[in-house]
Amino acid sequence: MKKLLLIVMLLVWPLALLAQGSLYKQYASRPGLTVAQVDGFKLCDSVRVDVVLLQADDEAAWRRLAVEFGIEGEEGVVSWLADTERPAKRVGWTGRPVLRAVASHARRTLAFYRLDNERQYDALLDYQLYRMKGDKKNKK
Amino acid sequence: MKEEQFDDLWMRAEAGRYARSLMAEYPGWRRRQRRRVAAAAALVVLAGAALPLLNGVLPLGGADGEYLAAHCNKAGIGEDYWVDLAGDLLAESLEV
Repeated sequence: MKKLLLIVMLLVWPLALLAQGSLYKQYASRPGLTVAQVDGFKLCDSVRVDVVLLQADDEAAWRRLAVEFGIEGEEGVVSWLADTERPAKRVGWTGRPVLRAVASHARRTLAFYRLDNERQYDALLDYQLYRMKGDKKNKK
Repeated sequence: MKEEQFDDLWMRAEAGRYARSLMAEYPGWRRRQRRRVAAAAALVVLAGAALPLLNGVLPLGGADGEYLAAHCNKAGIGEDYWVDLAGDLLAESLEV
């Protein structure tokens, strides 16, 4: 009975860990940060992406993040393609998995959208254009 | 006792009438019963643990299917807040 329970626990433990992304785990315990993960964020009917958001609780925590990701001194919203393992590193699109990073100084927030393939990349651009047009229409 | 004989006894014991006498005359009955219950419990636990992994194929959560699941390291902030923020940031990143 004890052996069986031990086997079950050993099987369940890695499964539970897999449910959380490495980026989320990396920042979730850092003080001054609120970290969220949205799985399967819908871009269109057939394409979804996973998103990790880092929100600084105060200005000091945001300054630290800004330095870490090399966006200090910049204004507004900044965006770049990032390495999946090292999100501060800028990379180009090669068809391999990347993160679309978006940083908003006003919201003190960094968001990382994981793009595993070209379909997700295209859908993300379509979503951005669709939302931008919609937002402009609503503002009129 | 052979496996078939045990299964037969099990079926009869399940019916309730012979449970007490079987337990008294065969000491392995409780042990086997515990094994079966533990195996069933393990299946339930494994199925529960595997559910988050099926998020990619099964629409398990999220209002109107806008997302599948969301979690945060701090309590008190609704899932919708993060989903809206993820969408808003994408829109804002194209605005100049």
